Amino acid sequence: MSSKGNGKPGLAWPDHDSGPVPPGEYQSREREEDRKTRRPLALWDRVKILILLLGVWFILVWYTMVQFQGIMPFVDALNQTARAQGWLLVLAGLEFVRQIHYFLSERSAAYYRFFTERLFGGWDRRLHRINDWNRFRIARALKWVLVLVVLDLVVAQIVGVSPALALFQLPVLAFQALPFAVQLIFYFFIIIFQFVGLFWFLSRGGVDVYFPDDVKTRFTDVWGQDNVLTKIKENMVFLEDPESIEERGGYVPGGVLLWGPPGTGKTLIAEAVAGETGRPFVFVDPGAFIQMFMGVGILKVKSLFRKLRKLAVRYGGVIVFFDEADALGSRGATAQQGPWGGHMTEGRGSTRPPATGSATSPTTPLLCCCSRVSTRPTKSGAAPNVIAS
Amino acid sequence: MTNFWRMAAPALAVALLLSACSTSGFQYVSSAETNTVFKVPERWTLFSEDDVFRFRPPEISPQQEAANRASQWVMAFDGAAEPTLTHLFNADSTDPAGYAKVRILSEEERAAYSLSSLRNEEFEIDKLVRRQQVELLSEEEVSLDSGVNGVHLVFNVRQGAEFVTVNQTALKDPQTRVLYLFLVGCQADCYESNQGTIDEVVSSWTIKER
Repeated sequence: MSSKGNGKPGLAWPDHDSGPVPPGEYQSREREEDRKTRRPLALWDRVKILILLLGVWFILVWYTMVQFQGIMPFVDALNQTARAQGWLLVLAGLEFVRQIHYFLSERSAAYYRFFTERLFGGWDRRLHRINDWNRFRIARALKWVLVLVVLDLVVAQIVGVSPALALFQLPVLAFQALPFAVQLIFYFFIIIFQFVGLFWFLSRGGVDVYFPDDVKTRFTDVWGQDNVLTKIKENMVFLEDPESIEERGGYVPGGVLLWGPPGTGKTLIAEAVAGETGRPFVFVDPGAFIQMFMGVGILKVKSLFRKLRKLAVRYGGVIVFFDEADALGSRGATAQQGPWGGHMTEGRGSTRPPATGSATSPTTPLLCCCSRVSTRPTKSGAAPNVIAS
Repeated sequence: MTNFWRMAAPALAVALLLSACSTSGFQYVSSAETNTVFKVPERWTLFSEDDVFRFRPPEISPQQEAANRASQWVMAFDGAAEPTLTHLFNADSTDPAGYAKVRILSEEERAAYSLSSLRNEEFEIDKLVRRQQVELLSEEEVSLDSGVNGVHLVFNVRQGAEFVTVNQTALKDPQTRVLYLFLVGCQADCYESNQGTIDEVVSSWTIKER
């Protein structure tokens, strides 16, 4: 990998701070109003309405064949439907003409200008006086009306009544089909409930909650980590009163990372923070998010943060402790095999091996993220904020 | 989309449109209320129920006509270049003509209705056979899966010096409440020369299950 971007040797990453640098031949996308011809349509956009009309026609052909089952060949059904449902051919013809018009507009600037400026220029300007959102709503309503009209004409043909009467028959037919629809929905939910139940069951556990009065640990219980404790006490201000920092234009970190060899008191410090602040303490097991089924881990993360939000609202904050947080930051093979084992790829955002070098052993350095779950958005981002090494 | 489909799609659409322009040469008749369908050649002329009732004999009163209209559905057809309802089973009919009729039987009719009644519904076959004015060419009982049953007859009716051949299918539902009648005929020579078409028309007469 080249070191292009930051001018330093070795592995390097694009300099995202200064933004991507476009290549020399880069052409910015033309604005619609600067175009001399109409923007070319994709093939699907060209044919989709014709395909819709063709589909409607085939439904009517199918119905005709059913009506004269056994005596009418397919060609006669095509012919009979074409004659009886002339409106479909008229609509298809109009759509075809429209597409030819678009095709010419995409190729001839003069033709495009004639239509957009001279013929429909005034109309277009009037239309653009309508608020964008209202214009979108009108267009959406018109599309629905078109769908209803087509549906009405098809139902009218099948039921054998006039389109006006068929409009009133539509709710009746929908109501008649309701038992079948409910039956389908019932089967659908029976299957879904099994998965929901299974995933709900599997997503339990791994997260323990200690309420403020349960946590007896205080800073006075922590010995031999005075410098860490001083830092933690500084950070307590961030966690307790982030507004005062932000008012001064400061950046409030969402959490604290405790990093060190096993047995150095990281969990104790985290408990002490919870005890000192009088907030609930949520302990997350290292393997809480590693699951046999894909998706269960995500569900657990979601349910954990839902729980944290509830606690934060009720108690004005919450301390969450991710034991061995390094396992959380990694994905795939890394998550399965341990924090630094297997096939670590070096790259931006990847975690770096600790200096101790004992990462893959059972005595994995305990990484502790103490995070205050804010009950309101902060400048530094959405809550909760987590610091990781 | 591959190049193959780019070329095949328009060709397919054109082929579809062209196939819609060609027909098998038949026109189709259906009655949603009686659940019956049949087909006749495209060049034949169809007479609607109104046409048929407008052609009613003078002895039928308007009240009787109203009662008939309420209890039956009828559709006539004529293969002549100058079609008219007078061609029906007439000695002058040199082109096939006929009609399909579905009639609800009255309570009194139901009690006494039989296979013999079906035979004699339009022509008094049995009586005419005894008088040697009708010559039966074929006779077969018909029984459909739906329980509809009846009789299919082909016979010659003497009209003066001429013979008119008639193909008659008379059926009734299992409860003997509805009568289904289909007749096609013309001069014996005409019948012989158009037998293929007539057979196809007769076999297309379908009573759909409700």
